Amino acid sequence: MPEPSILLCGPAAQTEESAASLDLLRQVGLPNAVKYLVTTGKFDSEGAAKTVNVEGDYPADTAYLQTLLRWAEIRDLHDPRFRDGYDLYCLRRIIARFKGSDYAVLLRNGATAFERQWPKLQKSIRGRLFQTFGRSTAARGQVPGKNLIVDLKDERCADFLDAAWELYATGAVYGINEYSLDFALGTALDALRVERMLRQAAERASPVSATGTQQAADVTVLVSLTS
Amino acid sequence: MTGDALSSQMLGWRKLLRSRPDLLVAVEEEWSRWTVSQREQVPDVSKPQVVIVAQLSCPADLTAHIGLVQLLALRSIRCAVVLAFATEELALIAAGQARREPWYGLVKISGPCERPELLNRLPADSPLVVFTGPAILRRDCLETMFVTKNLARLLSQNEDEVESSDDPVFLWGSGFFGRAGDYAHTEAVKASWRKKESAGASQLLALDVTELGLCRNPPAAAPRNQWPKRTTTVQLANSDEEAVDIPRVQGGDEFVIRFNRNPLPSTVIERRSARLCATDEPLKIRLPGEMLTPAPKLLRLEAYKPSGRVVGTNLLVRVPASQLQPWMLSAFLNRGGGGNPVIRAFAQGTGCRLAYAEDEPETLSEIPVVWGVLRDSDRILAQAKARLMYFFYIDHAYFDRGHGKSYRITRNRYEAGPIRKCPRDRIASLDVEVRPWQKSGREIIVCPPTDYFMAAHNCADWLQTTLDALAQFTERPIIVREKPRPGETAVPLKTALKTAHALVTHSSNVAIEAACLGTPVFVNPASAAAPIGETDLSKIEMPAYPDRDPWLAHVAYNQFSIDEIREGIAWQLLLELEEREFA
Repeated sequence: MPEPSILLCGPAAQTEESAASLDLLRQVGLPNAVKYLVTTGKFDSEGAAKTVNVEGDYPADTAYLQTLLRWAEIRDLHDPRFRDGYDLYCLRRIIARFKGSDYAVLLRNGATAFERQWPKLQKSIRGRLFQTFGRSTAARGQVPGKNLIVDLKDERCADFLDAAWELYATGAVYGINEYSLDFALGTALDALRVERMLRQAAERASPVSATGTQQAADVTVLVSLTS
Repeated sequence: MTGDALSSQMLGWRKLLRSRPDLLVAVEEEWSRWTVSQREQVPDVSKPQVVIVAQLSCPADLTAHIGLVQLLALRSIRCAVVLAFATEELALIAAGQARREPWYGLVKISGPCERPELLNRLPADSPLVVFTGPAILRRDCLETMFVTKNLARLLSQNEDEVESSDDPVFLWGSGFFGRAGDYAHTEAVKASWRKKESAGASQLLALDVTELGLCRNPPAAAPRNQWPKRTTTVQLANSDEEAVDIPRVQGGDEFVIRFNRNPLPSTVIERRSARLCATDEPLKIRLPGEMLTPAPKLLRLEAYKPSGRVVGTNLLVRVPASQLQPWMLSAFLNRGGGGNPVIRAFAQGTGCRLAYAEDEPETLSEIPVVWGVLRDSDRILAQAKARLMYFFYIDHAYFDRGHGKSYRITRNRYEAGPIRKCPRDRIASLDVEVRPWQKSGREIIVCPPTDYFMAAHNCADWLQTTLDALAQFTERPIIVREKPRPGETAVPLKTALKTAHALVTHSSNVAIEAACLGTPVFVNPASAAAPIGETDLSKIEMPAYPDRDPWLAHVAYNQFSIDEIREGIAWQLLLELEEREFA
């Protein structure tokens, strides 16, 4: 059985971070890992990783993430609610552009530990969709956030990443009292459960019970939901 | 692993609702109808007022709160809406986002600190509805309670009724319907929405919007000026006229702050139930973009009392430039161009909104901060000018120029403008070479603006007009010195000026350099060098040789290093500059 392929994303929100992020990526020696360094400008990764300038197409999303931070009257760009959102944005961009990997890893610290833990991580993520690992984001400031692994083979993956991004893009993460990346991603997963539960309830409903012109409307809605 | 309950409920619900775009459209239309009526119509105090508190996980939840909109659709009650957020930070975000929403100023945004006090403040018999999450209401029940004005039923509803399986109000979800005095004592608010989710959800997804009571109201009528012509005028509380005291405020009063445009139709800026105001605290409002102008605006503050009496006063409100706040600003990036790093630094230093100029709609909600005049910056500036709003303009500095170094930031003009009395500390630190005035030069050097500049400033024929004018007043040799294009070599300006009588330009920085090197300058009145030069070409043979020190000190207070901008020092200096006297 071939080794599963890993999309390894090293995010950098500022030019000065690119070198450190590249260093992390260099330290990973897994042969099946494809490395992407996400930068905000031109940067020569000397062939150690594929460089993607996330600001190259002038996205409104990253500016809006900063606006949310400032509206919340927080000046620190290391605030995890901003930074996790930014890094998640980078990861989603990379996943959307470079398809075909089995796992996606957001690598923000402890590259050697990641390589060491990889066999264990691979087992533990099975059926879980995502897992965080590495150092904690508990202390705000310069400490990089936790790493994240996402199982791209899981059929819920796209919906999950969309839901997680929506929590950051709408500012909902600023409403979480004890914020952590785990908690936010758990919220996104819960939201998928809520949605699924409601859809299943809708599917269970019998359109036969409806009458007259309402019946047609019911059937139409239910069919579209089922599909 | 579990997450935040409200966030996951609302997010899941929002995702589900996307499969019912017709329902979402109906909700948005109902919101629109309500906001238009609130913005343009006189409060109808004959209707009972109901305070509705909706808990939101983020402002995006608003269109998913169907129950709230069902209540807004009832025209038999007056709704005072409170949007409740779990953290103060999220409430601040909601206040920022609200500036671009039609309901801005029409709802109360509340954080967790204020909310308990706000609910405790409500008179015990105030009709109160609290939505703890997404909910859909029974239309027939609402009509029984509200349309028939049978408020007794609403007020008598008790805990047992709310908890019962045949909930008379909720088709799906849960919340509190009753008197404010009972709210704190009822367990209803703690009822989990999950208990009622499945049976109702299966039905509601198939419901027609009209069955929910939505989209049944006709669109709001065209605005007419029905605002009261005669009201009792209240006295200003303080002699300095900074505060207004509305006497004898009662719970059922409704405050309205609106533009006083009589006889033209008036528009409401802020509308608030007195029930949601503390008598001993000022009513704080965030002024809309229309108010962010150097010119004063005439407002009307009115209290509509349940008796039908209206008391009010006129207010002349002006936002001084030295009092501008970060929440009033939007810093605009451009797609392309070199100014984005300084715009980002400005947003970071002030804590203001950051967005792309190309994405901004026609109506500005905040004071714009732009780089240069290209890539929609000019469109943004034109909007600000048309509405007489404040604006800030960022461009290359006068000294220590170059990306990553220093930049000039000016307010409501492109250049530093009239001289204000500033200390010499900043110009001294720039170490600018200032030579004595040269009074024996021979030729005149003309430096035309770039094509971009001429197009943006509507002076495409500037060079020809200038040469024609000079020909009338002088026989001196004239040298036209175009701005060197990238890769081109040109005689250094310092060398070219050695034998110059004067330099003529529109508002190029070359005039600053020339003036410092001792060459008299003739410029457009908008130029930063205008205060020490001449603007009338008929005086070309009689240049001015003024003292340049006050001007240099002033110019240095209009430019800032990138670090000063990023750290917010520039913003503080700009506000202080507004307080400095003119020289």
